[in-house]
Order: sequence, then C-alpha cells, then structure tokens
Amino acid sequence: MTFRHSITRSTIAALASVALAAVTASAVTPFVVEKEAGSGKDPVSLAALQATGNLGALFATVLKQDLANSGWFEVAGGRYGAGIEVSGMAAQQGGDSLATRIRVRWNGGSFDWGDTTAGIREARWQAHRLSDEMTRRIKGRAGIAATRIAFVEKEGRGGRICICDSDGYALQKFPSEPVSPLSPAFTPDGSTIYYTSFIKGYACIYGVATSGGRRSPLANFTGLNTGGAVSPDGRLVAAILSHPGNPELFVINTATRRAIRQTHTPRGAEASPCWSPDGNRIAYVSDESGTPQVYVMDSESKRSTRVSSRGSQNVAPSWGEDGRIAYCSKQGNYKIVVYDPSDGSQTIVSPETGDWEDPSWAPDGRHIVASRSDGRTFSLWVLDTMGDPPVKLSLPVGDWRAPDWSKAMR
Amino acid sequence: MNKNAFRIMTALLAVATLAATGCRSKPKNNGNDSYLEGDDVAISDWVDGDTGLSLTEAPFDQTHSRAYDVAVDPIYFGYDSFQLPAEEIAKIQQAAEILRGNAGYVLIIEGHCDERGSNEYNLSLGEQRALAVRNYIVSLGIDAQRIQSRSFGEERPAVQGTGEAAWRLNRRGEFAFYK
Repeated sequence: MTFRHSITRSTIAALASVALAAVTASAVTPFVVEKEAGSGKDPVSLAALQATGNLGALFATVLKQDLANSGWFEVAGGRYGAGIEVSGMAAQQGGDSLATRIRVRWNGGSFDWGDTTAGIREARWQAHRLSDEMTRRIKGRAGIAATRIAFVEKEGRGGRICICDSDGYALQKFPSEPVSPLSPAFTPDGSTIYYTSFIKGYACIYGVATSGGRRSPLANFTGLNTGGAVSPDGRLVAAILSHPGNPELFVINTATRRAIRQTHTPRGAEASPCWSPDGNRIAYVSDESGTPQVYVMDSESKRSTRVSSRGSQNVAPSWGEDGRIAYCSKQGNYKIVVYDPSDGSQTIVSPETGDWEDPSWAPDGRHIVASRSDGRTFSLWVLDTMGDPPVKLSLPVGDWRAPDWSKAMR
Repeated sequence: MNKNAFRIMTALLAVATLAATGCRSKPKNNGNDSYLEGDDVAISDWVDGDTGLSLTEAPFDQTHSRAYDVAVDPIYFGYDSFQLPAEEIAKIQQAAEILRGNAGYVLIIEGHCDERGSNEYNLSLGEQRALAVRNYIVSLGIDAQRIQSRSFGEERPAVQGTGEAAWRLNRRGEFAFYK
C-alpha cells in the first residue's frame, strides 16, 4: 500500500464513524454490538439486585420475563461479570408500595433508574419501563414491555373488545355486543381505540377511551364504515367507506370531521388500511385485480404500487417502525409474510402449521402479534422476525382475534 | 486523493446525510396534508351525486317496520366473487317486482361471506355483493333511494362449520323488506 492509499483509508474510516454517529445520534448511548443480530443474546445478570418483599420479588420476576421477551437479552442465573449488570434494590415498603433504586451497567455505559409506586399492577409496570429503558439505551431499539394489546374476544355469535398488557396481564373487557365487533386500533398515545361495531345494525366506526366509558361514532354513513386506522401523528383516521356506491379508501380528518376520498375503483373494493411510520403512505388491500392484494399508496402522488406477489389472497397489512410490511397470505394455509422494501424480499415468519391472521407489529419493529387458528378457535401469539420461537400470549381460555399492538404507554 | 476514494467519500457523506435526516426516524408530527387534497365531504352533510343517498338518511330498520308478508330466498355467490350468477337472477327480479308492486316498501340487502379470508376484507366483499344486487335492481327501474346495502362479512353465518357445504350457504345476499 502506498502512503497515499493509507491516508484515503483513514479518511474513509473517519467518514464511516461520522455516518455511524449520525445514525446513532438519536440513540442515547452507542450500541453494544456484542453479537450479530439473530445469532445470540446479550447476557444480563440480576444477581446484584436486592429484591425484598412480595412486590420486590414480583418486580424482579417481571423484569426477567420482559428482558427475555424483548428478544435481545438473556438473564444469566446469578453470574457476576455478565455483559450487563443490574444492581441496587427493589423493596416493598409499607402495605403495597414498591421503591426501586437501580443502576444498570454494561461495557458501553451505565444509567441510574428509580421510582416509587403503589399497587401490584404499578409494580409490574415499573419492571416494564425499566426493561424498555434498557432496550432503548443498550440496543438503541424501542422496547415492547410497557405496551398494551387490544383485540376481540368472540363469544358465540357475539363478542367484545378487550385490552391486556403486553404480557397478557390486566385483561380488561369492554361491554359485550350481539354481533362481534372488529379491528380495534389504538391511537398513537394509547388513549383511545377505534373499532368497527354492528351495534346500530350495520358496520360503523366508533371511538372509545381505553379507560372505559361511552363510545362515540366516528363514521356511520349508510353502507359500510370499517377499517379505522389512526395516522402516526394522531390527526387522521384512514377508513373504508362505501357511501360512493363501492367500498373505497378514505382519510377522515378528525378535527374538521371531513372524509377525503383516496381511491376510485368502481370495480374493486378496498380494505384494511394502515399507515407508514412517517405517515406519508398508506398500505391497504384492494381486489381490483380480481383477487385481494396489498398495495401502497403515496399521499402526494396518489399513485399505488402493488406489494404482494405470491398467494391467492393477500390481506391485513401492518406497517412496522423499520419500514417492513407484514401481511396475511393464503399459500395453502394462511401465513404471515414480511415484505422488506429495502430489498423487495418476502419472508414467511409464521410456523408451518395452523392458520395465521391479522398481524400487528410491536413498536420495536421486530416482533409481531398475530392470531392463530387450530380450526375452531383462535389464540394470540407473538412472532419474532429474528428467529426466536413463537410465544403464546398468556390469556385465559377463549377465542381471541384481531390484535393491535400499542406504542409505548406511560 | 484518487477517483475511487472520492466516490466512496461522496457515498459515505450521502449515507450520513440520509441517516441524519430520515432513516428509522420517529413519525413526523409535521401534519401530512397531502391526504387532505381531493374530493372531500363533510361527514355531517354529504350527499352522493351518483346514488342520491344522503348521509342523514337513516337505516330503514330504524325508520320502518319489518315486512314479513313478502320474502325472497337468499341468492348465493361463488368463492371470492360478487358476480351475480345467472341462476340467481330470477330471485333478484322477484325482489324488484315486490318493490314495484308495493309503493311504500323499501329493501335492505345484506351481503355475507364464508369464513375464509380476513374479517375486514370480507366486510368489503359482503358490501360488494349487496351493492351488486342493489345495482341490478336499480337497473330494472327501481328508485335507488328505496334500497340500502349492508354487510356483515363473515360475522353472521347462516350455517356454522367448515367446508364447502357450509361455506356455499354463507356466501349470500339476503333480502329484508320494510314498510
């Protein structure tokens, strides 16, 4: 190598670190890239965490579970010198109070964390928040522990909207309806759920506060009103309305209460809109070609591009934070396929057996919640796009469908 | 610096710029207004130029009573289709005749699907089935304002069960007359 060549190489190295710094500028501290993605997990030790009382023990248990569920970590049993060390105390105080004072240390940095809460649920959520903080600071990714999942419980011919924490805890049920409601969708701040209800005798979109209370109608035109999906900035709701004489894609401006038509397909019907993470595109289903396929429409040009190729039916898209689109594809049985626009790849992420439907991305852009049918009833499962085995959501026995994964909640 | 190094540097600068400005960024709260350009209607006062149906028009089952003195059998559809099969047309003509012969009567057509496919897509498909029947009746000279469509997708099967024997009985349009 000539002297000139080595100056160029170090210049390139300098620029590469500038580029890397630009990418990680939004993260709090640099990554700990101990292993290639998918080939292993970062070991975490909780041995130095002093957990006292029932709530302290609960905190430690939930933290361990959350770190495992994140996909990034594995909690090594009682081993000092593991890559990531959690130390400090989680102590039950008084009747039902949990006080934490914790330090997390790894080879790329450290941070202190602490809180005081009352009650069992709040103790669990302390663990959820700490797990997500560790995921954010150490891996530079959004966590999925401090989140909730909305879904539908079918009961005979009827059903109801339900919400649970991402670990299945704190199951909350909304009032039963004689015809099963459909498609709950969280607002980005998690305060409201939009869903489709037949309570008026035909499909209308309603909003209801997640804390409970009266539902209020968003769209109740004659004909069909369904598929409500909230934009990332919370201002707009994409929906399927049929009052033009055919189910078409609309965008509803909730502030002005005007519905703006996006598609004109008199011979085809649209369904299942969902938003890109930056809010500039909508993915949706259309059967204009003769069979239902997944398309992406650009908001400026209003032009649509088809995304799905294989499979006789491609439905129910969900758009993840890193830009990949998951959808349900009938290829024999129903499978969950992930489309990556960066290389055009289509990857099946559901197991071989069972019918898998209604994928919804977790906010980490890595995990997907979906429903799985064994032929009679449906259950909810968390799939991992990086190869961890599917995990069934821990819920009571029932028929659970149409999950929607919230963003991070306070 | 040689040409290749210059190209690499430019590429890296481009990557750095792109990374800093857009990739994996949080959702923008800049208010994407492109969606707000287009035919827009106020939710409270929309009237369809083609069908004449107004938004304020209430569903017939809220303004009328069910008419049980007239009935037409359901019509059945092929898989994943809203085409009107030739052998089903007679029933639709029968429904049109009922409306023609009973001035105050109105009709709700319900579209249904079998359990295959997503619930949301089946809502749209069921609506297409109901609208296909409605459009045919209108083409026979009946006033569009006397017919409403609705869809239950796969949520109200006529027959529980899996397999074509059940599925073909669930892919249907049902006639409900009101007066």
